[in-house]
Amino acid sequence: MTLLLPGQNAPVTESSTEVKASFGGSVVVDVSAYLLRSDGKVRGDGDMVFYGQTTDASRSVSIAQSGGRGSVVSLDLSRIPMEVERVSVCAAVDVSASPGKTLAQATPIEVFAAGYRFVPVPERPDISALTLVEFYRRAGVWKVRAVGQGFVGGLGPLSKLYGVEVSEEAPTPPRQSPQPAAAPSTTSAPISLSKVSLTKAKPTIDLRKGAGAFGTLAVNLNWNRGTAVKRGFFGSAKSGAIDLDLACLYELADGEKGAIQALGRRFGALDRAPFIKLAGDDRSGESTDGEWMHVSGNQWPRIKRILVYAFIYEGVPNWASTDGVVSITVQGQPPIEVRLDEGSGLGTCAIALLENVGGDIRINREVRYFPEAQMMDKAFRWGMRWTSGSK
Amino acid sequence: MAVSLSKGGNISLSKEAPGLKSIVVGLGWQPKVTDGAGFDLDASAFIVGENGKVLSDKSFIFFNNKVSDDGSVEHTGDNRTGEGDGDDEQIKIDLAKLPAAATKVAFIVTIHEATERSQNFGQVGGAFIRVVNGDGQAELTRYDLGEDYSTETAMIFGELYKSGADWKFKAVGQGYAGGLAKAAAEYGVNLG
Repeated sequence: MTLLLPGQNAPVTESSTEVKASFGGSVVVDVSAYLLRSDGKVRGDGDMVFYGQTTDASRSVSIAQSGGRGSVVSLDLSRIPMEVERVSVCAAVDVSASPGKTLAQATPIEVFAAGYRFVPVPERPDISALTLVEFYRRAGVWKVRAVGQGFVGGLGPLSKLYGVEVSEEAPTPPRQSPQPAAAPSTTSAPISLSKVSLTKAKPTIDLRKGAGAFGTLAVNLNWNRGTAVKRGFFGSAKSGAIDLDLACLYELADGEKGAIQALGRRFGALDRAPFIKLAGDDRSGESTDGEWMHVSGNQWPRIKRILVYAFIYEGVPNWASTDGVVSITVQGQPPIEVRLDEGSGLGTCAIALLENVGGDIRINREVRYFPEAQMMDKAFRWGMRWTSGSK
Repeated sequence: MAVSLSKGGNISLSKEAPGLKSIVVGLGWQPKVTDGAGFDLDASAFIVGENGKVLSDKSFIFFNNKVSDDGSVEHTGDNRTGEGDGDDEQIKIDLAKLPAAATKVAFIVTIHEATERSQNFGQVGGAFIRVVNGDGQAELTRYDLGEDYSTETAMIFGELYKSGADWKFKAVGQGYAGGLAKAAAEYGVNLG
C-alpha cells in the first residue's frame, strides 16, 4: 500500500471510497468531515458530518464508528454536489471526554484513505485538531491529498477555517475563543437561570427518586415557527412556516417497543401501556407553548427507556433557524432543557434519551440528526419495523 | 490590462510596454492555515547565459546576495511568513544593466528547511508571479500557479528571456524535489 507524505496527492480510482482513521493512546478522538465550496467553506450546516450528524444533506458522505478506537468516513464521490469542490476529513480531541489531551497523545494516528496509507504526526505537541486528508476535484476527477496540518485550539478554529461557527461550551484555551457572530436568538424561550441545560459538554443528568414515586414527567417542544424572517447560523435569511412534530420511541421493561407520534395517530396513553401520551398535535402554529408529551412517573419502573425526538413535518429542514428547545419537567425538580442549537439539513433529530437506571431517570442529551426515523432507530439499536404513514 | 498567462504561456514584455526599461517581478504564495511550523518561502533569481548556467556566482540573487554584481537585479527583501495578499517578495530588474551575455533570468521559489519541517508545495496555495513595469507600476502580466502540486520543494515560477531584441516572460510552474542548494547547483553556482 502506497504511503503518502504530508502534502502529497494521489489519484482516486473508485468513486465509492472511504477513510479509516485509528488512534493510539487513551485519548477520545472525534472524526468529522466538511463538504467545501471552492472558497474552502461549507454551504451550510448540512455540509458538516460528525457524530451528531452522521451524513450530509446529499447523503454522499457519512461517518460511523469503526468499533474500538477509530472511525470510518464513507464517500460516494459520484453523488457529491457539483458546487462542492473539496471534502476535508478531520480529527479532533473530544475535549469533554479527554480534557487537556492533545493529538500528540493519540499517536500513532493511522489513516487509510482511498487505498493509500498516511501516518500524520502532529507538528506540535499541543495540536488538538488536524485535517487528516482531503478529497478534491482536479480537472474533472477526484484526487486525495494527505494534509496532516492542524490547530492547537481544537475543533473551534478548525470549524472556523471551514466556515462553521460552533458554540463551544467545552473549555477552550485561554485565547479568545470565537463566539458565533449570529447565534440563534432566544426569543422563543426566555432565559431562565433556574433551569438545568444539558449541553454537549455536560450531556447527562440523573434524577433520583426521592421519597415516593416521580410525578408526571412533562416533555415540551417549542420552536420559532418562522413567521418572521430572521438570520440563521450562516447569515442567510430564512422564512416560511416550519412544523415540528414531537415524538418518541419507547421500550418497556417487559420488552414491548413502539413509537408515539402524531403520524399514524399513535398518541399513547397514561393509564395503561406505554404510560406515555402525546397531547394533540399543534399544526396551526397558533399555540405558543408548542407540543407536549407526558410520561406517567408512577409507572417509571415499568419503562426501560424513551428516546424523545422531533422531525420536521413541513418546511425545509433547517434546525438552527427553529430555535428549538425541549424542556423536560419532573415535579419537584428544576426543568431540564436541551437546545437544538446544532443545525442540520436532515429531517429527524434525536433529542434526549431517558433511561431507567436502577429506578432513577437518567436523561442524556443527544441532538443527533438523521435523514429518517429508521436510521435513528438503527443507531440506537431500537429494533422496530417501520412503515410509512401520514396524519 | 495585464495579460494572464497559463502554464507554458509567454508574452513579449517589449511589445506590451514599448520602451520598457525596468521591471519588478512580484512573487506571492499563501501557505495553508495551521498552527504548526511556519512556512518560510524564498524567492531567488538566476541570471544565466546561453549554456543555461549562471554568468558568475554573483548572478545568483537570493537572501544572502541581494544585488547582482552589475546592479541589474536586486532582491528587495525576504518576507518570512507569506502573510498579506500582495507580493511576498519582489525582485527589481534594470533591463539596460543586464549584461549582454545574459539570455535568461529564472525566478525560483524554494521552501526553507522543507525537509526538516516536512513541507512542500502541496501545502502551499495561491502561488503567483507577476511582472510590473518599473516605470509607473502597471502590471504587465501575471501567472497564477494553479497546478496540483505535491511533494515538490522547489519551483520555477517563471523566466524572463531574450528573444531577438525583445524581452519576453514565460510562465513555467515547474516543480522539483530538492532545495535552494540543488537549484543553485543546477544553474552552475559554485557553492562553498
